[in-house]
Amino acid sequence: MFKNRFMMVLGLLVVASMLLSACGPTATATEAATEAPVATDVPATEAPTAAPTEPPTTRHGGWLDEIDYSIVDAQSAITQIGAGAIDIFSYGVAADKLAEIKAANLCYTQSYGTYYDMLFNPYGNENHEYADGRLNPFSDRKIREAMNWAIDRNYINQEIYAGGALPKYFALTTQLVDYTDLVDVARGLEAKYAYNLDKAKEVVDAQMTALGATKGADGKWQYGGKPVNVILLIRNDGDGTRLAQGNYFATQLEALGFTVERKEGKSSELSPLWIGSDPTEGQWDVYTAGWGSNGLNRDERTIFREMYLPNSPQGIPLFTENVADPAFQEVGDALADGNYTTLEERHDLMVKALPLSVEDSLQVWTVDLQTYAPFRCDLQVSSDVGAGVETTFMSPYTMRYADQEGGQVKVGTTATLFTDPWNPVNGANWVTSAYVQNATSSRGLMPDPYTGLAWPLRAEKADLVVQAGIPVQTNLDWVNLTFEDTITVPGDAWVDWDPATGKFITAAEKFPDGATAKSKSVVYYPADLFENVKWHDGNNLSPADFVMYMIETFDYSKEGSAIFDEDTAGNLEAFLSHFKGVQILSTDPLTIATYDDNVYSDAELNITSWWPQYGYGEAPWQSIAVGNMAVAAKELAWGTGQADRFEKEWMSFIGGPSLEVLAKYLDQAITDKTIPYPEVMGAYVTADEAAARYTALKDWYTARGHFWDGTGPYYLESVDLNAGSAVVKNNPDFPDLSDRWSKFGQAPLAEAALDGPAQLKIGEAADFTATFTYKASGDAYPTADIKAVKFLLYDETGATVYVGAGVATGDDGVYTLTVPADVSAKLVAGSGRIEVAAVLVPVAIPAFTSLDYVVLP
Amino acid sequence: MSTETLPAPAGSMPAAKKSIANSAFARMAKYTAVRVLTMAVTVTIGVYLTILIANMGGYVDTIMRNEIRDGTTQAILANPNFRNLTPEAKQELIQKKIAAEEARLGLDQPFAIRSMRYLVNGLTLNLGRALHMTSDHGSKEVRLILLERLPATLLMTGTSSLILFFGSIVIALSLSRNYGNWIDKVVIALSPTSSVPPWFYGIFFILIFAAILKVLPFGGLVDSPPPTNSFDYGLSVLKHLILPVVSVIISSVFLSIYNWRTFFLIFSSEDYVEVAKAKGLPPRDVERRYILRPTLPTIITNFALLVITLWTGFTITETVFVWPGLGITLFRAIGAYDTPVIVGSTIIYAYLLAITVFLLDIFYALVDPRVKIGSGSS
Repeated sequence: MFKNRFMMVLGLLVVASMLLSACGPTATATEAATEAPVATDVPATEAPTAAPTEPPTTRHGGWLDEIDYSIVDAQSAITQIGAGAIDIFSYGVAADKLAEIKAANLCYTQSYGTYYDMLFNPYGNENHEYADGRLNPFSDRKIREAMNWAIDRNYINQEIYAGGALPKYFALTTQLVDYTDLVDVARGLEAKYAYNLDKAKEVVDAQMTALGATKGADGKWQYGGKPVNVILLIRNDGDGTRLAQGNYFATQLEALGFTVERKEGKSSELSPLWIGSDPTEGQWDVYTAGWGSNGLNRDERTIFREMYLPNSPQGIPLFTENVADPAFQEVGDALADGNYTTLEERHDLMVKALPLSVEDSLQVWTVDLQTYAPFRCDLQVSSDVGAGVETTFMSPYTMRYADQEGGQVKVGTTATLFTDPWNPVNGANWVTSAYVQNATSSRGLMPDPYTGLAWPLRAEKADLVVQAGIPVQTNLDWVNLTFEDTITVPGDAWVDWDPATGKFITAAEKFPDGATAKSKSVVYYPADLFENVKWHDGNNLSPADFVMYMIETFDYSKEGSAIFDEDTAGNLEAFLSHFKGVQILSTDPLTIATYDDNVYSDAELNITSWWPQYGYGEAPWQSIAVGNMAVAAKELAWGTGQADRFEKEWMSFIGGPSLEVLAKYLDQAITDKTIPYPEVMGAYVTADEAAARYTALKDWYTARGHFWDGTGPYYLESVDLNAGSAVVKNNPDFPDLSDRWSKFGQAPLAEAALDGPAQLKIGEAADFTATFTYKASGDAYPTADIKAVKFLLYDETGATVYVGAGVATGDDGVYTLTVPADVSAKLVAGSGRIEVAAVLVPVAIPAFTSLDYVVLP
Repeated sequence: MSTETLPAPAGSMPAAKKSIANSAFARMAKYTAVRVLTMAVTVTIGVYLTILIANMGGYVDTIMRNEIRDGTTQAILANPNFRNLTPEAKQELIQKKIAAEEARLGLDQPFAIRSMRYLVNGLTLNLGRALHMTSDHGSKEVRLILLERLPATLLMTGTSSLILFFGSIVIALSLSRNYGNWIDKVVIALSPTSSVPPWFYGIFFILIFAAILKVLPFGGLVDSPPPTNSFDYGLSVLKHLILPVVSVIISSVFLSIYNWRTFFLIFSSEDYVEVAKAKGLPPRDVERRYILRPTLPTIITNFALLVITLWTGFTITETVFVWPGLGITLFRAIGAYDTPVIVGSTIIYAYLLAITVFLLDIFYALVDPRVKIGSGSS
């Protein structure tokens, strides 16, 4: 009997110990971080890197011999790196894992992810009521504005995201390009709208009373004899943090006297309400919204219209029901439509729009989430500060072990690696797939991961001509910018495509009266381009690759084409609405001119390179030709919708039933020496050259078992689609040395330090000294790389009392901040604070710091 | 209903035998027809209910429309190629794409019609094409989506379930002969541990054997990069199989042994077993002829049902071990409201279940003399 009981107790103890263990922290998270990051910490790439001053290498292609990508469990990714099973988790983990990363002594990159807010139903009739007579307090702009004071963003950041997010006040991405340009205005507004529940209560009380509501004995607002019930839609799916945010906001609303009905649900359960329902019915009042980051976007001037105004292209009824302040509408429209002639005008409009957007507060922003990609500290990883490692085209070009050439890196990522089939024309659109594809690809231009600008990769230089009166600036010296009153499109430029004849339509044919464009970019490629750049299948790059890309841009989306895909017709229409023509000026050296009406304010972003990098991957012309043959025969489809209409497979270049079909058409092309689109391509390729191209592709397919071909620093060695893994190996024929992009191995972030008097005397001038250094090395930041230094003085209430500019001292990275006597004369005795911000040239993230002082009479 | 009891005409024994044979055949045919019809109706109702539940009675259409609208809008707004379009041009583009996507997913047809099409296609095993999902190899054919995951599923769930099933029976049989000894007591004491699901053990085993001891992989089907020759590849798969299989076995083995041991114990104490033992029959003969024989229908039933449940996989365990099985596929399909994949998986399971139950009815009659088909007293 005793033994039986003993055994029973033993069994129960085993179960209990397991349950208790499960409730405890994981093995790698035993040492919780004791210091949460400061809320205003700038995104960082916390990794040691090889100094760019290393001796030059003779190695071509990537730094590594091999990169192995595999699908791993995100929950255990940090543990796996610690155990040496993988070297980096490129997809990244959420901010709440930052402490675990630090505890495991791993390095990490930091980038922007989703951003969250409270989105309000703005509908209200003249009495601010819904159709059934209930009061909608959030149809009142003042009450929406007051919600900014009711939300403690720092609390949300620390409590929900362990300090790993950025408190967010504006639709603009916090601390990126436009925010940095407006840093003085932004910081002033952040001080103004800092958490202040009493202020929120004061405004709500005044406005609710004005709306006809009364407060009951229980402190709850009543309208028409009934409680003012706020329906708060709280998302409980995704990363789960919106549940905590929603509950926090509900509590704050209750503190303001509202009765809150919390409706929790996942996206699919709540979208019929906030998207699908008629706002006038009042089926919801507030929604815990989340939006995806657009990466490092240098031009966010359209965001005000998109996120607030009734003519938002979102097209969702809740936006159309918002009644915006006419001043905000005017400014938002002017920015979105580009109704300004100088960059200073644009800046002024943004300065006006920012406070007006907070006053509108259709959405009250809470946090810009940060994503962290952990990796071994002896690894060097470039990461786009806007969107993370996997969206960084340059990342495979710079990934290496410190002080080592060669080696193998094991990259862990998520199950989206092979979620959709890979084909270059309209295949997988997942960042995880693109991350592997980037390693195998080149481009005409290389996106700068730290500024969002572009550098010439395979291109050499460019001329840009812009219509006079359109504000454009150059940032980098490879673009030569000029202005002309009129830019005429030459009559023989290709402007459209006729699928019936298989020929381009020229400008003279489409615009018999002549055509003009707002910009003309001319890209010059190196003279040895077609000798030095080889496809992985051994063929040399040729002008035909460029021409095929031009043709495919049109033909795939043109009704009447044998490969027409109606799903992409709208894309082409949108493209044609601004595209004005392309002209191959020379093939030796290759020189291409492009005419367009779409003009960005940065000259580098207006350059069109026409590299055979299709929407979803790079490919030589013969691969596209074989794919087109299969699509024309309706045996395969480039896109998913097209595949459904054909009732055939969505084409994959790397596996599945597609390969057999592609191989069949490849054999046919070899036999027939097929020249696709002969009316145009016939001028760039002969039948024998075509046969040689196809034969090389067949050899490639026979050797590798896939059709994925490129010109990048690595080639695709193999994929295991069931197991979810891919292997790329170094391409020794890559024309560039491995160290070409070494200076981008690490984001050149700066750290700021501020020194000065602890006491300011009213009426006397005072000088402070701001010093900026590299965050990684601590070396002085070159003054030439600092675009501007601004500083703000705050009074004891947090209100901005002065905005000034720093003056360079002559020593690198050292600035003097002078508070003039007439400014200090306006100060009142008490505490104050000075904050300085440096806008940097080589990276979009500014450097901040602040110092407290006392004002003496 | 049976014709067996009808008196046979005098002097017509061959005819009587024929009549009996005919009647047995007729009885069998009738029984078969009724059972098939019953199961067909059951399967049809079951599958249609699955379609209705998976689509929330058609409400999923509303969800999908809103998600298409939201997804398309955000994709257009985030695309730098469309950034400088006028709001009108953007709206036009968005509306076109929404319409195209709704048409692709069949949302331009009433749900009632689509649900009947799903049903007919499912019942005729015309599994069709997935709405959103593709197979690992890029195919949208539901057949391929399910089939390509089958080998990995069978490998993990099959290995673990078969080891668990037969291992439990063998150990249970032994314990039933020696109940009350210390092993028996340990098994009884540890049987509550089966309340813990396999993925829970999986997390522990990963921590111990992958993170700390570093002797086994964290998960996945095979090493990365995968070995290039088949033998090494197979060995690598086996290495990756160890932890998930052990997790499944450990999570159920004690309770399973306990169940079977109790079951065998009941039969072991029957009078005829005691008589057999008293007659001095060897224990192996007693087990085989007096214990296993009468328990065979139950064992076969359990085994048959176990085999068909392999089809569904172990969703969470597969997720923890990143094992590319059917469980994850079905889970993803449900999350994505991919009705053809859900129906495809369900209909195959339903058919397997129906066929198994039907065959078991016949099998019972073969192995158990107390059971007669169509006699109304099975």
